[in-house]
Amino acid sequence: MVKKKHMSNILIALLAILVLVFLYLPIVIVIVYAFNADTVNCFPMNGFSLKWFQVMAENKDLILALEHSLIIAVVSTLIACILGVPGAYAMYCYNFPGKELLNRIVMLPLILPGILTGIAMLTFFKALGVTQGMTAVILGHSTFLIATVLPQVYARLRRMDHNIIEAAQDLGATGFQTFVHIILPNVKTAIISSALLSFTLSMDEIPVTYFLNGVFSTLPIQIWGMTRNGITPEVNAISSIIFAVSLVAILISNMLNKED
Amino acid sequence: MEKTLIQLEHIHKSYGKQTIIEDLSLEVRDGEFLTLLGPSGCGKTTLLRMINGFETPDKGEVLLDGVNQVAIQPNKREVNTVFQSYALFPHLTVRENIEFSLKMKKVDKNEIKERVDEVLELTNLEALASRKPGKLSGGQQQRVAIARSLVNKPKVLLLDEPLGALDLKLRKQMQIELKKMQRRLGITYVYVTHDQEEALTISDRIVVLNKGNIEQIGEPFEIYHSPKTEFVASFLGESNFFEGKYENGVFHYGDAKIPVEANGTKDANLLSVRPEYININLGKTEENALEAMVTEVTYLGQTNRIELKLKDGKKVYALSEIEELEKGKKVFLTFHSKECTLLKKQEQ
Repeated sequence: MVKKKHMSNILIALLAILVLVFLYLPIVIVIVYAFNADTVNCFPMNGFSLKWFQVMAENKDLILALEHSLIIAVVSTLIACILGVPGAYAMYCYNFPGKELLNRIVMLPLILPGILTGIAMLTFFKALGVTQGMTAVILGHSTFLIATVLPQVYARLRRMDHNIIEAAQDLGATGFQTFVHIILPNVKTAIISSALLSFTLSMDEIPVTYFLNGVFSTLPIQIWGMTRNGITPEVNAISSIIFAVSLVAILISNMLNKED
Repeated sequence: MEKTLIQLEHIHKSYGKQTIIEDLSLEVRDGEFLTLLGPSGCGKTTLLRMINGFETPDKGEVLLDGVNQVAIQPNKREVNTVFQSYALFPHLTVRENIEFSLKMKKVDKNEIKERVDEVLELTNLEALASRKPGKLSGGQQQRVAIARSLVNKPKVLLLDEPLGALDLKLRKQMQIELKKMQRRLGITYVYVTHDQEEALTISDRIVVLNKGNIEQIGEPFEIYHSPKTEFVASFLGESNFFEGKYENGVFHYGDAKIPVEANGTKDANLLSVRPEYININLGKTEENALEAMVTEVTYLGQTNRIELKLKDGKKVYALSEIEELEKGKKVFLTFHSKECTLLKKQEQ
């Protein structure tokens, strides 16, 4: 019996390793090729080189796209937090009809296919008179990033002891003081972790951006354009960097979520 | 010196169709330890929350030092609350928790330090000042909650079942500590509990509540020994109830005549006798003694709790140290005539 159990454990472990390999091997290959000395992606490699990182750094269009992406990611994450955190607090504090429905609807932009959200926003923004461009992309990203901030912060608020809000007021704090001194510190990690997640989501967003960007390019769109004529090693280089940054952001986000 | 500090006047409160409190008036004296005692759902916590401002009465007034509080927000009232769950701020240390209210009121830094140090000493928390609440035991958290309120020098300290989460031994210890602290500070305490023993131990006066009505207000001794209603007699301690009729010093229960030295209402139809005031006799010493049979003996340590059955089948409980009592034994019961209480039967 003991031996049997041992065997099944090994089988499960093997299966898990296979799944992980299936998921991550492509990324590993991209990273390996990023250091390839050759111009063509082939194995075995002809040597180790950092030259593709240099080529990448000298590609002005790529760097400009990266700048755009950074601005969009930072600004839309900020907007999502500024709207999402008080929104979550309001949902926590007040009972109103349709509250549970709202909690789900807020998630919709994350669940809906990006192409649908993109078309919808394009039509809507056109009707409003917002032209395609940076502002439209930022607005578009903010809407679906609220979907990552609000539910996470709301979930954290619900795990908090509700009595501490009354205790703060009982001890003389105004509503605003309570929010700043009691609520924010207690949901701080949820805010940071959802902001990091928002940032990564915005950085690699294509469908919504594609409908709203107009003439300027963001990093993922630029890369996508570059690969239409075959994958060049500099794409591997920038992909490796994006992967590394995303990995760090997600790890931090995870760590903060585990805390308390 | 018996100044009235809090006045609740003709309070009404209902949630939807359910009436919680109907026309309740109550006065709290300055410096006293007043306990609101009652089973869950009797409205005691609701009353407390009207004093700290988290509930508003539908009708009626809440006066603190003569000033109507109803329109005043909780953060502007000169009362502080110790919550049942303590509600300490988990992200702040003990010292920061205590400082909180003074910081919110923008009190001068030196004064904050002075007052916090004073309260830390009073509650024996100096050694724990830099710890977070999560690293404290239940009793220590309790003390922080009290310190955090006291630092404000409130006119009234409201305590909502503050000892509910502690184990029995610690609870007894904290009861004494609370009482001592209250005496020393002279602050008025309004204390909510459903634990009758606790209420008897710590209170100057007890308000017994049932279904949003005041059943009786009085000192612990008075409440225990001269309950005014059937509810009070049964809620505080244990009591035996006999239905019958009272006439000229005698309570008629069936054929039995029980002598009673009037304590309570004259037109009584109910007699309440606490188990400790029932004598168990092995022989028929008195003409009026009730014949009974022992049905159960429970050892309580200092004494035995005896369950008896009268001839008409009624169950009676008594306390006795007599060793010969055993199941099935025939005995005779007499009551301490001075300790019997005459009552009117209440509609349930």
